[in-house]
Amino acid sequence: MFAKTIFSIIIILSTATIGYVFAYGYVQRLHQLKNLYLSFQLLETEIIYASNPLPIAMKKVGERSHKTIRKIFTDVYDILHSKMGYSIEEVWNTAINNHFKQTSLNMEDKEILLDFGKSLGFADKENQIKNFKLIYLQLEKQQQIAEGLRMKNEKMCKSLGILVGIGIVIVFI
Amino acid sequence: MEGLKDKNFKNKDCYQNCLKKDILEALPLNLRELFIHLPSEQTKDMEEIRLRVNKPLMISCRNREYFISNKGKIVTNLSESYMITKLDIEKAYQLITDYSIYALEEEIRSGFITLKGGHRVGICGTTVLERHEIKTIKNISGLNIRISKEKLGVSNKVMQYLVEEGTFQNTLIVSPPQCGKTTLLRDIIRNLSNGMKKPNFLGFKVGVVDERSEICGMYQGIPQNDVGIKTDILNACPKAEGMMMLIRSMSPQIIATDEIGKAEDVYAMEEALNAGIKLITTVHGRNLEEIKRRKNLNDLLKQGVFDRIIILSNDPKVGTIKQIFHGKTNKIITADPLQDRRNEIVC
Repeated sequence: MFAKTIFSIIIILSTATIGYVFAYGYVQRLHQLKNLYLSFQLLETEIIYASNPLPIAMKKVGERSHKTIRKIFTDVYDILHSKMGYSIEEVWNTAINNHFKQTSLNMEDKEILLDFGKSLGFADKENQIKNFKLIYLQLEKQQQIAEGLRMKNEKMCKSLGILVGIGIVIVFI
Repeated sequence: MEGLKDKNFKNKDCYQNCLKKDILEALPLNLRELFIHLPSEQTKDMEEIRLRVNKPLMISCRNREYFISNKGKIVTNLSESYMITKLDIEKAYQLITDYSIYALEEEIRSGFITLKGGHRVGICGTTVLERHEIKTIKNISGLNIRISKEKLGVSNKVMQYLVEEGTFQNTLIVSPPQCGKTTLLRDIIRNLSNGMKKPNFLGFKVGVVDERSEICGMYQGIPQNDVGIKTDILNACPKAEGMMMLIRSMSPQIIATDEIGKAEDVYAMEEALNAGIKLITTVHGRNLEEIKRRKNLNDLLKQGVFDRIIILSNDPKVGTIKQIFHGKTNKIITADPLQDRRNEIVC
């Protein structure tokens, strides 16, 4: 009887943890989208108002970004600063591809980020502003979707984890 | 990115050559490879690198143009030469602007960008107009990288004619284009600012209005050419306004500018003279007669503003000092004596 109780608790705890991990993904994505939004705002300030060259702007944004997305910006700075002769689009895409797996963002978010790199730096201020406005809109939309998904799935994942655990316990033990 | 493995790129010997490093960094990888293989005799005298869309890659050395082949050799045959693609130009343009076209709008509008090291890149393409003014240049079709060669000491021999008893004489440098007038002006500024032992004078406070960023080669606020320790620079500033700003705020003893000619320039120069400031400037022209045909300049010459007039020519070599006049009396101070020193002045 004692062993049965212990097993039941272990099973319920582990399924609950799995449920929490799934739920955490949804929370993290929303969190990272919000941080990306902030980082792009910083980048806009550096580019439009301070007129800093892009490598320096990237460095400054990297320093002040949240740690989950910092690497994207610092990587761009590192490659640009080494003056290897790549175009900004190549560099931006490399940085996104390298660090995408470490984030909780989905493919749709990735496409938006890659799209942003296409006219980054390679246009006058007016077009840069347009590019920023576009990504703000897209990120806001993604945030709304992510928020909806989180509301729908976070609780469900958590309770489903516990419920599946209890189910296993009832059926098998 | 296949090229990231090329991290040792920087360590290659030729890359350490300072002049070439700044230039190479402005070129995309495939073009860098071509230039790395060029023999140093050719690159030493290189004056320009020309990139034109779908046209052969060209360099110009000693006023002659050469093609560069796919393997990085100098060739004269058009069919062997490397053809520049639109992508090459776009990449080069990104590197030249440091990926920051938005930060260089002013420079692009005036048609050139200054690189690190003071080299200048001329831009050609389709201009975008807004209210009859050039807003920017798009669809870049041609880039001309002009390699700046700072020649320290070219003015050492002429300084004795420009400074008399410790005071500087107002000087006008007359020269056709491409004869080294800016190079000479820059070195005179450096000498005036640092002071010299022979002829003996202490350094002057020199204010430079560098409208076209040619004299000092300013890159991100730092002059890339040596213009001396007591030199204040107003970069990319219109000459007339710049001179007035310097007079008001920087108390210069000498004001230096490049290529005067407009009426407001002349007015500002008169203001400077009234404030007791000495002037050095340059003007396009072959000889004194040509200058006198221009009204604004003729007025200045009639007033006897300039004490010394230096005439430059490119015969036999760029930067040859043909004559130095006494501005007021039109007496030739030196003509022949400098001839045997020509090479010293040039090199």
